[in-house]
Amino acid sequence: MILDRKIWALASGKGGTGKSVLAASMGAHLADLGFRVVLVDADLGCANLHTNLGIEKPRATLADFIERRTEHIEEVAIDTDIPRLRLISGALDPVDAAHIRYQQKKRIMRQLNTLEADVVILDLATGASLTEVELFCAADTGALVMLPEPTSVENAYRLLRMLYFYMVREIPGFKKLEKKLPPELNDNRVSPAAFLAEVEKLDEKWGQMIRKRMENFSPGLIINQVKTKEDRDLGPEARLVCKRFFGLDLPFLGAVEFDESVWQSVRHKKPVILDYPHSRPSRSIRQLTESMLSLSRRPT
Amino acid sequence: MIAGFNDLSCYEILDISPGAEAKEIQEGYYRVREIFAKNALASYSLYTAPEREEILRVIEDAYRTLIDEKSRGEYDRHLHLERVKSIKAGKARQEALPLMPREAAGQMEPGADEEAPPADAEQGTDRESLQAEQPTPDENEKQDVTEKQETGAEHKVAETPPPQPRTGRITSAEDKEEDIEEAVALGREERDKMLEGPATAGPVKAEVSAPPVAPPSRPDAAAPEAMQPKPAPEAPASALTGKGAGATAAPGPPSGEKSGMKAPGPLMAGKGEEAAAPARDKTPPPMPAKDKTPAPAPARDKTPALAAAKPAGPPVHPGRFGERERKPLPGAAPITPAGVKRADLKPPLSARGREPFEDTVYDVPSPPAKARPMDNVESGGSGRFFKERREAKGITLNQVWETTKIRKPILEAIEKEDYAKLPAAVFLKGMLKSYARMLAIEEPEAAIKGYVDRMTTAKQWME
Repeated sequence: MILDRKIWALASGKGGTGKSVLAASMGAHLADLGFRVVLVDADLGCANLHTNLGIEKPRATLADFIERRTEHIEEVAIDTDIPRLRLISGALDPVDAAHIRYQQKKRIMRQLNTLEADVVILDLATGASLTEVELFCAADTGALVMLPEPTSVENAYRLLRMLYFYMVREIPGFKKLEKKLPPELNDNRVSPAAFLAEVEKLDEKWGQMIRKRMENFSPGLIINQVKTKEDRDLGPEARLVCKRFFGLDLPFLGAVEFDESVWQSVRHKKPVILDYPHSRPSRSIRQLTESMLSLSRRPT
Repeated sequence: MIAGFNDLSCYEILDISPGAEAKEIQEGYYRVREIFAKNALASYSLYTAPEREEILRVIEDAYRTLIDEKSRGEYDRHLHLERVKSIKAGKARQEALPLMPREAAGQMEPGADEEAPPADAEQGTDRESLQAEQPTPDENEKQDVTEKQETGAEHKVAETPPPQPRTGRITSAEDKEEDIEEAVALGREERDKMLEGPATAGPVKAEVSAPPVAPPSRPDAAAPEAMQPKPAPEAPASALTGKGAGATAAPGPPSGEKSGMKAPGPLMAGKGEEAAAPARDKTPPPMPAKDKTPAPAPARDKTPALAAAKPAGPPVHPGRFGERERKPLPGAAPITPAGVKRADLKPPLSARGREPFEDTVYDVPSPPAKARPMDNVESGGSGRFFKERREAKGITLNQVWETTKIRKPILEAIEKEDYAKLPAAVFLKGMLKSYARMLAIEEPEAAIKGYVDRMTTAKQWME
């Protein structure tokens, strides 16, 4: 089956939300479903996705590709114990790789598209730095992972806000419009909805352009480590807030329960979905992977 | 206004579908209010305090608009007008605006009816049946319009709404605001355009004077008579016969009604009760002219009997009592004197010494002569406090019951502070908590504590 959206990016505003654990398990489940999957550890500073898959020291990493020791990205994709699942590990020695230039990011994204795979899952680094934002926007679709905690929620919204304005600025000719905009719109607190309203007041054509650009931007929301029913409700609630504050309709992909099985599987260096296939988190991860799949089938 | 909330309908603000029922409105309101509340996780760090207040105000406004059946009806019409306008302007936003989705205006109306204390039943029934009448033809018509807009020209003239009794319309046309009329007119134009037939094209008055369909059982309800406002004193006379066409007259001027009201007679009372019943029950249109129109005038006529029987005392709960009376036969045959006696000629409670029905709540314990200790307990939330809050929000007991699952007798006991009927303090606390939550009382703990304390003292004292 060919998906319309091949490259999935997983991002979060705050660290420790479980992106890598989710990525490993989602990849394992997709491979189990018969997809050829490549997991990409895009955390160039401190990569550890390979550990989640039980690989101690990958023979090749993304750094080899970035520093042009290999010409094609296919060569740094290493096999894992799981059939149909390959891994492109992040740089283990954090040289300058953490700050790769725009051209190199372009090169990575271009080559990821040519990878022999049905799904490519990008496990991005924590935070809302430029690298993450650029990679996230370059991916076909994505998901924001957050925990039911104010810190995590706050950073997730901050990341989302950065993503939004990054994408708006990417629209050709935006610089011209920017000069015409009132300066108070540059305030960090201005909501995208207010921004869009202001732009529309100024220039209706631009308003439509931004709307059109944002139509395709709908990363899913994943709530990880939920402990209560209220935690789970955060998903639909955050969705409504995003609709109001950002003017974005983000699908809520699912919530993953807080469970002992997860940290145990991390210690066993295995994806939780294989280590404890009947645990509640595994069940939820399977579900959210499948809802992500169904969204990826949607024509872009 | 806050960005992101500007162009939203009340339904979108509460994140509910346009066809939402009262309960869904309630739940949507709670949910959205919690999402944007001060320390809510979901909207953490996004809004400043004044923005939050503004949002909560918008939410509150939306809720108040929708929870009240009357204002909701008007709001729906307003939305419809907007939509028609936008269609005219060539930029239809079909998804955004509700397409008059509710079948009938008064899904909740029975509840609202029960809410009205029968002490002022004479006005209550009148007002309500008028309200009930007004939206129904409008809404049906609009629904037709929207349907036609959607399905295009398949709807032919044959499918235009069957001529309905429009007596309600006349009164409504008089006292409605301009924009509503405009909405109707626009809607009609729109429909006419769709139909492309001159057959239905016509001014409002033309449709208004369309002959009402006479029910087969009562062929004497002649159209012209139905439209002629008759002098009110005639009404009782013709109503006495049970099926006089005069009864279908549009409600006359208030003075005339008053005079009609004064005419005593158990038969009249029965008739009034019966005639009012179908109107309240929202029998779907096309409705026989008889059942609809006579409701206001004769309904008032039951007052002499009622007033004679029941002194204006504690408001009698009209709940199941009302339902029982509403049952009667669709043919609206004159009620037998026996039936009237049972229903309306009850002697005053005090004279009979005990309740007539177990479900009418008269039995507020008569206050003892000496001061009771519970009166000394600092009042946090009294029964009256809850009742006033509830009424200020326009919520009926039925709605409270639906949402909180507290049974109505207990709700009534809570509001009347009928301690004997209240459950133990442990249970009552929980009930009051959910009730206070529903009413969005600011400091529920204080109100609940005051109430429970007073009840505990009262119970101890009673023992």
